[in-house]
Amino acid sequence: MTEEISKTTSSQTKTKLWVDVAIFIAFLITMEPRSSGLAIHEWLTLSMLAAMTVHLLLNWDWIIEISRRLMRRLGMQTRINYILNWLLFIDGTLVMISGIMISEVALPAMGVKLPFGFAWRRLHDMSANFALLLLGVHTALHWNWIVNTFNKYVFAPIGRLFGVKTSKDAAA
Amino acid sequence: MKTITRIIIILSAFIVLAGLMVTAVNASGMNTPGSGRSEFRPGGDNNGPRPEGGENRERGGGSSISRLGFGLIKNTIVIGILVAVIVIPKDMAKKRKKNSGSIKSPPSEKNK
Repeated sequence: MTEEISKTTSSQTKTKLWVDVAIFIAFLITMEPRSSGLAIHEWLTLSMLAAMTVHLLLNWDWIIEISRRLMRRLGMQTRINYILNWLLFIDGTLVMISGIMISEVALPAMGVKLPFGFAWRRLHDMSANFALLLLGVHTALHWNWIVNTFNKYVFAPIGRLFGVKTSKDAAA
Repeated sequence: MKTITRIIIILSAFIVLAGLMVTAVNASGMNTPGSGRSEFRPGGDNNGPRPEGGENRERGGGSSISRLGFGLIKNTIVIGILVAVIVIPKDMAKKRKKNSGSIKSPPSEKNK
């Protein structure tokens, strides 16, 4: 039973890691619309909505738990993290909605043509730059998790392939 | 069923926020329909900051891959700097706390 739970947690952590890596790479690509091209920029951003939903679903328990405990005793870092996550969600929504409003490829391809708006373009640029900053802080606040998970699920298996002993193996 | 409910909650939050943003922008009067792209380039000046997209958005080309690579590296460096600025002082503070803790109450001192 304990083994089963541990297996589920492990596979969930792996899924989280790869979803996060995919979102991170997609975000970096979408930040360069002039180089990647408009079509990739718009379709990739729209597909990121699905990836973000999966990211939120995988972290659902944490969101609910912290939302419940927000008004009670809570660590400073957890509180900052929670507020930052909301900011990221609000900013992400602004990036997407402003992007949809100025869409030139994806929406017309679906038969929707919206009137051009000056404000939406400015908002899109500003919110995208702000999202880069927020993502940096978000990454920093989860740095220990990122390093540990990468070590456990990426570097350690690669090391084992080449016969490098980890501290765990040595202990065994 | 639980997952579907959660997806609906997430998408509802997204839609509510998006609706508020559209209402706010339209109500503020910032978004005048039909305001042209030329507003970004007064006097046809292309040297100043340009918005993403529009007629000026490039649709790929020979050097776009290298530019994309440069852009990816640039943004990764920005994120890396932010991570370093936050993580390094945090780790140092943690180490200092640990050290001061061990100095405060070393076992040999306690025994005395």
